[in-house]
Amino acid sequence: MSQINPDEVFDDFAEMVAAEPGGEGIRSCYACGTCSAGCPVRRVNSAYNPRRIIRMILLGLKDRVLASDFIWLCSSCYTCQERCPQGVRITDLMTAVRNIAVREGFSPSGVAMQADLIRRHGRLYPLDDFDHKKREKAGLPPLPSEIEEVARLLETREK
Amino acid sequence: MNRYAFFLGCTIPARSRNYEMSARAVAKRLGLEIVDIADFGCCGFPMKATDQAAAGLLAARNLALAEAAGMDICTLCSACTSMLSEEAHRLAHDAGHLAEANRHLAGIGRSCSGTARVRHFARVLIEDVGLDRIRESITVDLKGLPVAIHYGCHYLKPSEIYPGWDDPEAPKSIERILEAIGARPVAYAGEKDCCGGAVLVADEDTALGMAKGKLDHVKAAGAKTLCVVCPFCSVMYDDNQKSIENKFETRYQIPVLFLPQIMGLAMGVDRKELGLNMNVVKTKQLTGEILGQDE
Amino acid sequence: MDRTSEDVLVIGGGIAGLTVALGLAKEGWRPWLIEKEDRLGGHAAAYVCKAVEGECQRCGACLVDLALKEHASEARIKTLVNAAIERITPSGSGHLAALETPDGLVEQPFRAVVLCHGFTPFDPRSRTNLGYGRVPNIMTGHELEAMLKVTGRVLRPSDGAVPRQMAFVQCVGSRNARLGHPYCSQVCCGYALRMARQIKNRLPETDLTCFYMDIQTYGKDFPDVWPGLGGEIRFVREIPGDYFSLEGDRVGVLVETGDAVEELSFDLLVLSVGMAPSPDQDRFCEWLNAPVGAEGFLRSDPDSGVFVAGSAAGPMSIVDSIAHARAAVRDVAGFLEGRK
Repeated sequence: MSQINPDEVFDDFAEMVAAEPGGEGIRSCYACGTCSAGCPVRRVNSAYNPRRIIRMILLGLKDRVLASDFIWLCSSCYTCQERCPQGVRITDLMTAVRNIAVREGFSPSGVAMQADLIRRHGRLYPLDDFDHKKREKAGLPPLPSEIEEVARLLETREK
Repeated sequence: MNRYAFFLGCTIPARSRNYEMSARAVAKRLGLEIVDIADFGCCGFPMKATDQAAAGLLAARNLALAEAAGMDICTLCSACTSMLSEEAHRLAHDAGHLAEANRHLAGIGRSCSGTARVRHFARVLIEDVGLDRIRESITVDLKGLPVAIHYGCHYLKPSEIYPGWDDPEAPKSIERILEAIGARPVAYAGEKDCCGGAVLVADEDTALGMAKGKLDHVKAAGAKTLCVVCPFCSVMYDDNQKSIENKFETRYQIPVLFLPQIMGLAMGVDRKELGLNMNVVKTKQLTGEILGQDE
Repeated sequence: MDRTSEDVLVIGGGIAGLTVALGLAKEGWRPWLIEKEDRLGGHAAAYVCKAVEGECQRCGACLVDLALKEHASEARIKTLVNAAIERITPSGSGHLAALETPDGLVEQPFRAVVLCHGFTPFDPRSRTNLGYGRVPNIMTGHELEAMLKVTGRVLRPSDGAVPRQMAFVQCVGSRNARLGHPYCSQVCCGYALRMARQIKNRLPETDLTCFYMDIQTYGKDFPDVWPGLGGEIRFVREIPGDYFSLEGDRVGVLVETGDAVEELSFDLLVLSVGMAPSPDQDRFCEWLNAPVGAEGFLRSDPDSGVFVAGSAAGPMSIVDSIAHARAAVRDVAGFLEGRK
């Protein structure tokens, strides 16, 4: 159990999440526990608790949530989303919260690095000469090392 | 039969070439024509956590490429399957979203009409090739090889983007393929558990803990091999099996095979063509038993 | 006016239909009671008396028997069982109904129609994670009612053994926005806890657990049930997420209690299913233009002489269905007499 300091409460945080694609149904949650009970991550690491995270968002605990490590622990297995009786898209909501966190400057280095690799190379794992040789040896068709069109496509978003 | 745009994604060409090799081998033997499209790029899945709109665009771009080539997409990676299927579903049902996607795609001289169709390799095998044809292609008796199936998550969910497909709470599709090739799917506790692959980048301990849970159950059930249909899952159970053994002081020695590798063995394809030497947990003993050879 | 020439079609011979027909007959109108099954009484006729050691728990099950008994001696109701409605069309100031009876097709004009077609119990196969139909020894509240009524005992379906650990899971198919049933079905906490109390009384060695979200204490009779439960049942304010089979055909669930996810196991698990609109209502909507309410059940359209009574109008208990049906009789009478 932890105390909530009124200064921590941002009244508009729940609306902020509800306004993101995937977060729309957050207010339907009645904390039944179906999600947390079936969550494969929660079983291994109790720091990740989808029911608790939703409750924190509804209570407006913006900084605690966005700066947390736990929002990055969702494995996007969709078990909770499939089972929620109120149709809360919990997995999509978690993605939405992560997007907000990134916009506010919170992003684990590994996640940021992956996004950067994709932006720059169009691939998560850029293929080098070593990879090309291995493919050739295995009788596999060649692949381009990078897809520069991806970088151009992502640039169109800045416009 | 149709031709399919073969979507490899990012992980397979770099880390799971054995999946690609065995899938190509099985496709060839079953007359399934798969076509490589060089310009396919990342499906967008790893980008979702950072910017889901950008991730959607990456998916839309791949769908546009497949549409332009006039083919359905056949995927190997389950994460790619869900990312591309989600985007295809949105483009097909949300006119506003389709217009917005095309606005951006126009910047690179491409467009999509929301008609692209995406299916996982296993689904194409069941729906288009058919179990009868698969059964007819078998030349090696697997003698009821006990196989634990790890369906994984994105192969089945979110279920609304896979209308008419398997039930996430009680899946049967891969079981049917394995039975058709003479293997014996083995039930085990925690069959529906996630491999933890997507958590690896954020928290290795949690991810390994999740994978450990599955390996414990599979070992307890006495399966000779764990069957996977996604490179993320293979990374967790195969590549990381030794790390899990060391970290938790356990021992598994359970070979982890991709579905087409098991199928290929039953079809008489040799180890090399199936990339079985690339599997991290050694598979020699397993294939030796199946083929009745002394290795 | 000659009331005996005012024909009223009462559709459905459950507790609401019986009550409406009896009420109209007593006032001298001419009700026709039509029932598709081969017996009257509807769903509630299969519900068990939930008395505990002779102490009435006010569940209302016996009121159905009372209504059936009254009906048997009421000559002024024209009753048709094993009958179907082929169609209803507007006709003059009322409706013309074509009724399929064992004696052939009957066409009859009616000034008023009362829809008492009831509900359908929620089918838990719509929520596949619950394991109903897949995991042995998971049954619905309806099935438990029937088992207790017919056999007087509660036994595991798989092997007929007496359950030593039993659980009820509430809100199955109710409070479920995803499936279009966002409402509370009002009766499930009542029936589950009354049955639990009776079972505990008969099987004192059996442990009972109730997984719930809120205990919905509908009806003025609930206080009769509640005090008796204290200490007898373990109440867990959580809904389990996963339901699976364990050795010996036991039922395992995963549930988050406090700070941990626990695996709990039971010999028998009961899903307290809610009430959903009956599929029959689609035809009636089409023929009679009966308005559909926010929760998917039907509403009366008094100006057209179309009335709805009982659970066809929404989830309600036996006692509430009777009260609702009696109120409908007043509305029908008012309509027939030309009162507003």
